[in-house]
Amino acid sequence: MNKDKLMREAARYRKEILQMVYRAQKGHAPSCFSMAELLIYFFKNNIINLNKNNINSSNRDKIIISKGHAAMGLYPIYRDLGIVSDEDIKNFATENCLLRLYADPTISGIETVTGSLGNGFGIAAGIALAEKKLQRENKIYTILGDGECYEGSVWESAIFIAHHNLKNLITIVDRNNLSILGNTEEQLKLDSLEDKWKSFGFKTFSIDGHSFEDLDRVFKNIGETEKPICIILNTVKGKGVSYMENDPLWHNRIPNNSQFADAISELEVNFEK
Amino acid sequence: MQSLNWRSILKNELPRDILINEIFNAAKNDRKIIFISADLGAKALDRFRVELPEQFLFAGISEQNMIDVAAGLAMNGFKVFCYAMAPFITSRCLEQIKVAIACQNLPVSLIGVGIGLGYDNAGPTHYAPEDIALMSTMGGINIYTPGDEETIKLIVKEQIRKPVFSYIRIERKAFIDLKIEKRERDFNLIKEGEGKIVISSGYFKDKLNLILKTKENNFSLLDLWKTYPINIKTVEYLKKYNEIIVIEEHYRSGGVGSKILEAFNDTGINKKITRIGLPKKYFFENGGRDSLLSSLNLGDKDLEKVIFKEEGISS
Repeated sequence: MNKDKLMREAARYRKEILQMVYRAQKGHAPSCFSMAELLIYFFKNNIINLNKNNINSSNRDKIIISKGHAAMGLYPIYRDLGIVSDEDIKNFATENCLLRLYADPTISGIETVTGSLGNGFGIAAGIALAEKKLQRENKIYTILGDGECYEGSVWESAIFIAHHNLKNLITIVDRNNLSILGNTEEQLKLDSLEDKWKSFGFKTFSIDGHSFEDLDRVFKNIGETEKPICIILNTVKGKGVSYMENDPLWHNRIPNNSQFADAISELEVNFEK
Repeated sequence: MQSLNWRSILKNELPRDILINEIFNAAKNDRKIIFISADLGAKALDRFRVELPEQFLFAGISEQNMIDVAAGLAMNGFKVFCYAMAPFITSRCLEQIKVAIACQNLPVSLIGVGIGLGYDNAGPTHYAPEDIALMSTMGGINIYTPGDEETIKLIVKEQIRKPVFSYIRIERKAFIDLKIEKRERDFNLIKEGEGKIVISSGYFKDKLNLILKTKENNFSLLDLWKTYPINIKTVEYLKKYNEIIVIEEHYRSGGVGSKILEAFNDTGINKKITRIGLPKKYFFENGGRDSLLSSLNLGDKDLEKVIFKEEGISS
């Protein structure tokens, strides 16, 4: 794993997400930023078996971003893979575009509609069960927000996944400690998500979600597992743009001209590093 | 008036068993058929679970996850039936039905048992007086209320042959053994006459069938088992009647009567429909379904008055 290369990719990725959001004047950049390292690690380090050649194959890996406001985070990744075009990225969230504010299955590589929190996860469980019944050997990756774990249906799905031992489903929780109205632990304690997922029957890991070393350590060591996996990524919402970090007000706020310029400068410094 | 001792002529097999047996017969030869229950049982389901365990899923009392999982399965070519009590498979998981199934055009079939006041004495938490209203807002849905064995089998066969997004409304109790005079595409004519037609389904249609036998008349009685959308051929058939009465165990607003009115309006037919249904309030009383219906002015005597126009009733 070339950590420096991946870090530069993550900075480039954040820059591109911000450009998309600024151009369209809509989007949820901070929610994408908190999972940037994860997506870069997945797709630039050959973890997920999904590419332009197998995109239409039912045997490939699948990824469901259940925190649907950040499903747009896949767009630059898919452009890099050649699944969507530069033009598509430029037209993000405009009239007649392919890459809409909230992703849907008209886009290759997007398995389901998401946006209503909690549901993408249950659908991922159904997909994982289907893949198991069809005896396919692919993996299904699903990413939830920590605020999403307030939804009761998440725990309905967790019980189901554990009972059916859906080991082909990798559940990732982006634990950035923020929801729209503020810090989760101040508003309504989620407390230890690691304990909760473990008690629901998942083999649970809790790592620094912005550390490529941690990501590599956990994903390389999953191996054969007795139970379904849950990886809690401890992250910072808005990571990479200092004025956005940990500030719930930036959930879907669009930077003004000078804020945008400042953010790009900051990201370019990281990119060049 | 002769007393309505219709309980003595109930068929034994419950509608849910007829339905599940039909699915079972197909599932034996089609491993893509999956039956998911949110903790509602049936004799026929006991057999299904034992003989086809790989094709049965226990969802638990988790209707929302049941729907999401059904969507994930349907995306991979499985023919999925979800099964629960009518109030719970509708309002409890309506959002999941909308975002996981309806807006992705997935051909999942939802089966709701205990429509209307079927779970009598259990109170408002177990009634489904608004299920047609709620479910008809889901784009692409087909709603059925089969009222006899043959119709149940027809609907299930068709659902398996060509899966569509559907909601099948099932009575809790057994049907009355009734003769159908004529079977049409989306409805059954229990009795075909002229001039006046009474439209109903489920429990009420069985009662109305007996009520219509108490006095001489040439009215038609139509069992509208394709509840929604109303087919243009049904509209064409209905418009020739002078007087149309819809009697349903559903809120007046948003039920079958409303759907027919909408269909008439959309096709430029300007005809009054008398709509009789449940009042929009919550009933906690015990005493059984008939007692409850009587207290709501929907007892047999009340329906008789409406049909034979002895006195008006307001509902």
